[in-house]
Amino acid sequence: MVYTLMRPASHFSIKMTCFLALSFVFQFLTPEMALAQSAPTISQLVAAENRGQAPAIGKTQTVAKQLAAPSRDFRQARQVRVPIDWAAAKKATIAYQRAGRMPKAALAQSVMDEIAMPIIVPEKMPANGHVFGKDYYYHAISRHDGYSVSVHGTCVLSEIRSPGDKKAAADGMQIFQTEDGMAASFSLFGAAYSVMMVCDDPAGDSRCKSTAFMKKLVDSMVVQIGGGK
Amino acid sequence: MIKPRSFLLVLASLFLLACESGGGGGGPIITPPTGSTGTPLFFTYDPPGDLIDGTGRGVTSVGVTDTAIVAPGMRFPIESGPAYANSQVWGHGGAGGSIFGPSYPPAPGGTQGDAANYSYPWKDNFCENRGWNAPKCPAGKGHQGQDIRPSTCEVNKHWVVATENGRIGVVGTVSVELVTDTGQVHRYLHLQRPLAPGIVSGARVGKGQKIGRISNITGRKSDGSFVRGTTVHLHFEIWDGNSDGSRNYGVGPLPLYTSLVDSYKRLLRSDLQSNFKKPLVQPCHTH
Repeated sequence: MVYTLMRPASHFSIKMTCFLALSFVFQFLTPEMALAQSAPTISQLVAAENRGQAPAIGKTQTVAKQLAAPSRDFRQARQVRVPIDWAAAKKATIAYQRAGRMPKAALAQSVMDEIAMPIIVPEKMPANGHVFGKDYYYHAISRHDGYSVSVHGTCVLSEIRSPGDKKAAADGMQIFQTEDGMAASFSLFGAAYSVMMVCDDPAGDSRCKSTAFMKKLVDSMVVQIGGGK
Repeated sequence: MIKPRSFLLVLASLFLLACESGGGGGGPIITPPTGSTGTPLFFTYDPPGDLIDGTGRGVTSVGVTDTAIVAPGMRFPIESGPAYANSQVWGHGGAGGSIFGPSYPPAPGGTQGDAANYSYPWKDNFCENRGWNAPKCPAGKGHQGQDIRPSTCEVNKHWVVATENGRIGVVGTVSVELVTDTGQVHRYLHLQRPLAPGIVSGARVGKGQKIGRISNITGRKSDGSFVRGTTVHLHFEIWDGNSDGSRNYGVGPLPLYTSLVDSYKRLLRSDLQSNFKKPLVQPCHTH
């Protein structure tokens, strides 16, 4: 009987203790730090969009490429331009901006205006970095200690069929080793991306075989909207 | 009056075109004349996806059989022919199955300079067994590009050139990226340093412009010296966004064998026209 009467009082005490403890912690957080908790990482965005399989490409537009000399033996892979989910890209960009996560080196507005797709770049883009591209693709490169990073994005896809596609679909973001480093391959906001880590000493640098390091590298990146969107 | 040289040129062109028409099926319709090594003088190639027996992931022999060209109109990445696309691991002088376990076949032995490594037919080795993921490969793992030997196995002799107009991306120790104006990333590996003048990150290059010379570099130690851990060859990759027609698989390494076959045929035609005296087979004699 005594035990029964005591239980509600104990729960109340625990709740109060938690509340006071959390209040104590939050008083030391700056507004930026609190908002940073709400900015999703790139891998979280990819997981949310993929939901266990590669996303459907929606209504596409066939890209007409000018061929120097059409092949007599093989057909050309069909190339389609995929639609961009600008609403999702804008939402992510705003989340990063509110969290105070912006590329440290400003991207040239003229370059941004040329690229009609969401741009993913390292937040700590060093001054020696380059971003270039046009309309349907872009490429960002930066140099770091012992390795270089390139990010490639495109909204034109080549149609190639392979039994390996099902495997790719199950994984969402693929992180894998390359001949000289690591790479991540994923789709986001309707577009296609890769992040490549190119190592100076691929055999001797343990980071160049680490999936965890590569994921951390991808998640250190931020989204910016190109094309004046 | 037809000059003898012009007549020979026309005759050689007819031979070349006749052999090309049978290439897609894995062998020529007309039996071509053979060179001193007993190999065909004229370009032949095995079908895309037809790996050396047992060298695919899971001891299979099948890579990507979709024959579509992903880089139409690209220039062949090596400046001049002949060139030989084939396996480094399972060619003469390669390590073969010893690095992957007893279930994989051994390499044929010998050295990288064996004449068989410098002969046709070409062999696809995209998806050849590796521990690395290659999303387009049947097992999801495999070789992410195509290996190509230049005409001889001499280091620092044979130039690679820009396959398209574009800009240089990352210049690594082992690889150089070319970001083409068509929106793809073409990766050249194992090049000698220094590269060609002006090849730095961000530089604009024109189709056919020299990038660097083929070597066997696989890394650089902390003391600055290079690791030379492979045979003399160009490892070439094409990365682009890709789909199966309904889903988006991101940007990754694509099967490129047919793009290379197509561009090599155009190179041979232009080589034939510009330098008729050049022999089509030059076996490698140095190691």
